Amino acid sequence: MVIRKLDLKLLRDVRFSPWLFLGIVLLVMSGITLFDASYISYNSLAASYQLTYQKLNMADFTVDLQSAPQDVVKRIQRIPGVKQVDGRVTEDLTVEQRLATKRVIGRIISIPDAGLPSINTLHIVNGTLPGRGNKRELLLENSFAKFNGYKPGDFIYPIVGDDEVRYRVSGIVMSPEYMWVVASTDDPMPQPKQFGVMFMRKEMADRLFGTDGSVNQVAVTIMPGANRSRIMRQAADILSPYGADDPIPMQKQAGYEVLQRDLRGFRTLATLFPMLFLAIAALSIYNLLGRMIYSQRAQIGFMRSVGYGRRAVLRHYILFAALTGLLGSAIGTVLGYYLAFEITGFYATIVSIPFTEVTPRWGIMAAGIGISLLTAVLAGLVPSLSASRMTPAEAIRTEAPSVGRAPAIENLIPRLKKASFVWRLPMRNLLRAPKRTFSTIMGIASAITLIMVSAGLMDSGKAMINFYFDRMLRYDAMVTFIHPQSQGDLGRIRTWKGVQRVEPLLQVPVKLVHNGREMVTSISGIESNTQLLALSAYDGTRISVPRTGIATGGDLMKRLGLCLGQKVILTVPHRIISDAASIPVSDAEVNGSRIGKYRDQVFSLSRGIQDITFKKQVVVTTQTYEPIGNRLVMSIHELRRLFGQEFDLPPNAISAIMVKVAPGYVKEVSRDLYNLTGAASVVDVQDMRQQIDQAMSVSNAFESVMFGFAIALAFIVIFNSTMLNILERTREIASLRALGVTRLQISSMLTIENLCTWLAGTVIGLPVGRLLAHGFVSQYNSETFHFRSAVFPRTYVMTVTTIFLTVLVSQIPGILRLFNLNLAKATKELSE
Amino acid sequence: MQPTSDSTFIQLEQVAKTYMIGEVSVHALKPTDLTVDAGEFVVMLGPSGSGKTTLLNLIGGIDSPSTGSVCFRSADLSQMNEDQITEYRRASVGFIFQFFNLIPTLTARENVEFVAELVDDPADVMSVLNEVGLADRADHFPSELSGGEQQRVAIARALVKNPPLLLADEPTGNLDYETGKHILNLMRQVNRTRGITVIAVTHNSAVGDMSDRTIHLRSGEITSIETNPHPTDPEDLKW
Ligand SMILES: Nc1ncnc2c1ncn2[C@@H]1O[C@H](COP(=O)(O)OP(=O)(O)OP(=O)(O)O)[C@@H](O)[C@H]1O
Ligand SMILES: [Mg+2]
Repeated sequence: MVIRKLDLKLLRDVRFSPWLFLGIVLLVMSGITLFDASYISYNSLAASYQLTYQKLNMADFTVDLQSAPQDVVKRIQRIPGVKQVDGRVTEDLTVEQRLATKRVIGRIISIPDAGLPSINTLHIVNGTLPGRGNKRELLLENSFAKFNGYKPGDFIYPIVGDDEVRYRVSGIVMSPEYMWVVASTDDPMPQPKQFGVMFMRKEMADRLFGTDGSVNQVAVTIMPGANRSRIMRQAADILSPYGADDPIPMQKQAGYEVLQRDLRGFRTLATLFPMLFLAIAALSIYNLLGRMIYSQRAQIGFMRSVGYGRRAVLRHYILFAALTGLLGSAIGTVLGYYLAFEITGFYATIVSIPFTEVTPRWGIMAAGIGISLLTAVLAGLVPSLSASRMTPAEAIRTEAPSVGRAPAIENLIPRLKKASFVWRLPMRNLLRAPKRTFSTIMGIASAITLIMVSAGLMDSGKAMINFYFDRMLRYDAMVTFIHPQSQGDLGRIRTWKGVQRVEPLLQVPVKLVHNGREMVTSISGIESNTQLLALSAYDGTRISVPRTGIATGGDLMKRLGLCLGQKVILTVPHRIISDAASIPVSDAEVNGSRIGKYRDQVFSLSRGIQDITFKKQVVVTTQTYEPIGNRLVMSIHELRRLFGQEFDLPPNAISAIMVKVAPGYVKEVSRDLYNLTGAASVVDVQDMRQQIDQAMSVSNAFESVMFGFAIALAFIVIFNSTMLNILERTREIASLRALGVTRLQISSMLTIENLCTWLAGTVIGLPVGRLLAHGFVSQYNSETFHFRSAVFPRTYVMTVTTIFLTVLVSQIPGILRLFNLNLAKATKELSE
Repeated sequence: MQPTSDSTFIQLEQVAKTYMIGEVSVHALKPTDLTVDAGEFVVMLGPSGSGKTTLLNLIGGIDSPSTGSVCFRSADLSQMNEDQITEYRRASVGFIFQFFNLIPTLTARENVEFVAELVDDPADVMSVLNEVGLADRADHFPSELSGGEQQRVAIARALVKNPPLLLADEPTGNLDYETGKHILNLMRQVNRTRGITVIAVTHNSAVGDMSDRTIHLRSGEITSIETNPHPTDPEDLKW
């Protein structure tokens, strides 16, 4: 094949300035790697969830009831459009785990006496299904088992009445409902130390709960194309006599919803960040190509004067850009796909996804290649166009000696005038080629911006969690009781060794309604002189507990369109739990006469047999910053007054006790708190923080990847422009060398020059980066996590020094090249 | 020779070029009339800065006049669109630049081929390189050639197109006495044998003796034009 000489020149340009070419290729490559990796992972995750929902036959909706005869399933089955119906029993109760010597809330869900459920079926990771008949065996959900170290054959001890009943773990399973194990939507953090899901044969569950012949939850799948809302309505009608809650569509199921929320955040990050990345890469390509074309202006002039047309010149440089785009995106696509595997795999270890699916997404890859080609070509277009438009006679004149004049700074700082030329030349050089200086400064500024944005995401996440634990939760341990009780224990605990402060907490589940929008959450009643559960404003200042009305997080208020002084309606979601203590452990028949009692946050996880609904109006009097969740706060006295009667609360009711403990006593005090009668669970704040950190590790990992890329890109951008800065002036510098200027002087001059651009780039980059970080963080906010954009001082320091070092390192190859320069040859070359 | 309308090869009417540098205007070329006939060998002489390159660039269509018109074979360059002017440069003009302007990333041979590819019927690349005495350096990059050798590549590049018009800006400026003469001889030869019109710029007044006409420039003006009925053979030039 005969290559046209114009194209040969193209290839030679690549060979003779590999740095430039490789620099652009690397820029494009990293942009596309990031784009493909994050977007393919996002898509793979979404697909893996979908695949799991489909393979494990996730219910299209479920209905919670108090209790209904099993036959009700058949009636639902007859609704036109219904595909399958499953009735089951689910109860939350306290479970003792002798392994970790801690109690947890266990959600027990019944499965059929034979085989696996047809709806919301299970994926067996390990072990076998529970045996039939009297076999006290159950299945444990995977992430709970993993976190607490359970293997098939281990034992676990649900507490029924006052007795711990020993069950053998026969297998470990994953469930479509609990890929993300949360008890409810308003408590979105998996807490495997506090909450676990277990599956038990129906006959065994019936013995435990006395639910023989009845179910308290119905799961339904519908035919493709059937009208789900109609079917839900009809099912609700059939079930309403049995104390049914509103049907919960799949999208509202806690695990599902939290995963989708998480996925949305992921998508935001997976699109916005690569966009920013590519934009900065484009800017850099534009700069680099512009400089390459500028250095080739004499060649362009020649080409045009011998009869190469504008289009040929345009095509020539566009082709160069396209070549970089193509090569960069080809490598980037492969790397991105590989990285997507890693990310998805990592994600699957955090979330219990039984079926993962990472397939090459041709569409995304094609889009990636398209975007990068477009980016490269568009970035190359402007300089190429200006190249093709040069008047040949103009272009052909060698680089016109540019304006040489003493910069204003020399007048401002008279001492500079007397300084040696090692100091003066860099200043003059910077001002002599303002375009080049500007492009270098922009390169540095955009690198800083990028680092700031990704670091800002990480910092904001950390700041949120720090705020939550350092400013809000000031206690070390909290014991939650099975039933609300009067303050009795409070005084006793205060006298324990190591206990520094004790405060009561009353928490009730409520549904908040405003402007037709509603949201299920809880109200915490705390003492007005609280020190253990502090309220804060957005700026971190303490806010006292309102004497009347409720305190609400600003983000929730914004979402509901709520203003201070407005009234909201609180209703109580009918979630009442059976009184577990009254259930006999024996195999004896159970009479249905259990007493319904409201429980605190713990029992808000479950439902029972009583149905009370009421409405209360309260005024929003205080706005707070709630970093995580959407909790409402009011004074404990007010809360008792407001709900005491409806909840049938004892006088001075509390549902939990917060305890501040001297260092070293936490474990001991926690253990004693467990042993209090009626204690349902104890939260060790340190533990909780660990669990949250673990739950955050997915986004942390993702952000770290972003951060790594940002640093890499920063390095490439700076490396390119610094390198080019030196190479462009090979001839000039060779002449200086030939005149006897020492290597040390040359490298000092270049270093001073580069550090000046570093300084200018930093001054521009830091505020721009801070601003962009703010924009990104607000994009990342969700219903649950309310970030305030934060950039830690150490991040500023880290960014500035990283860039500083990058500038220093990236000038080394160029300077080394100058040192080894063949002076005779270099002074002869017209332009590099 | 009496110029008739169809033998008028190049015609400049009131052509001027002014550069604006800030507030100051530099009259690189004051309004000038000039006619060059096909087959002529014209030498432009003048001190540095007198406007020689400017005039040559205007004739070659790589610069446009501030006022006046440049016609090639009765076609007004200033009326041409971008494609037409490109076609003019491609098909009709061979340029030898004062500063060579070789493509640094292409070898001597490739530099010549680079231009040869533009025309339908180029001369043989190696024989042109041979003509300028560079056949044995054909595969060297510009940075590996001496100034004079680079100059000769530039000349080969201009000749390979077989253009009807050859414009040379200081073609011998970097050459030694012998090579310089050889190049001038070469140019005279292509002028005689192939009928190529040559316009050459030089400082060297001795070169004027070999031309059909010598145009003297000073401060952007043509001060005089000498017709030389008996041009000296380049071999006999002395300087
Ligand atoms: N692009 C330009 N901008 C400003 N002034 C210019 C430009 N090109 C040429 N000049 C000026 O126009 C005048 C004529 O320039 P030109 O290059 O034609 O001179 P020349 O006769 O070729 O000189 P030399 O023998 O040194 O090559 C000079 O004074 C020059 O400074
Ligand atoms: Mg000149």
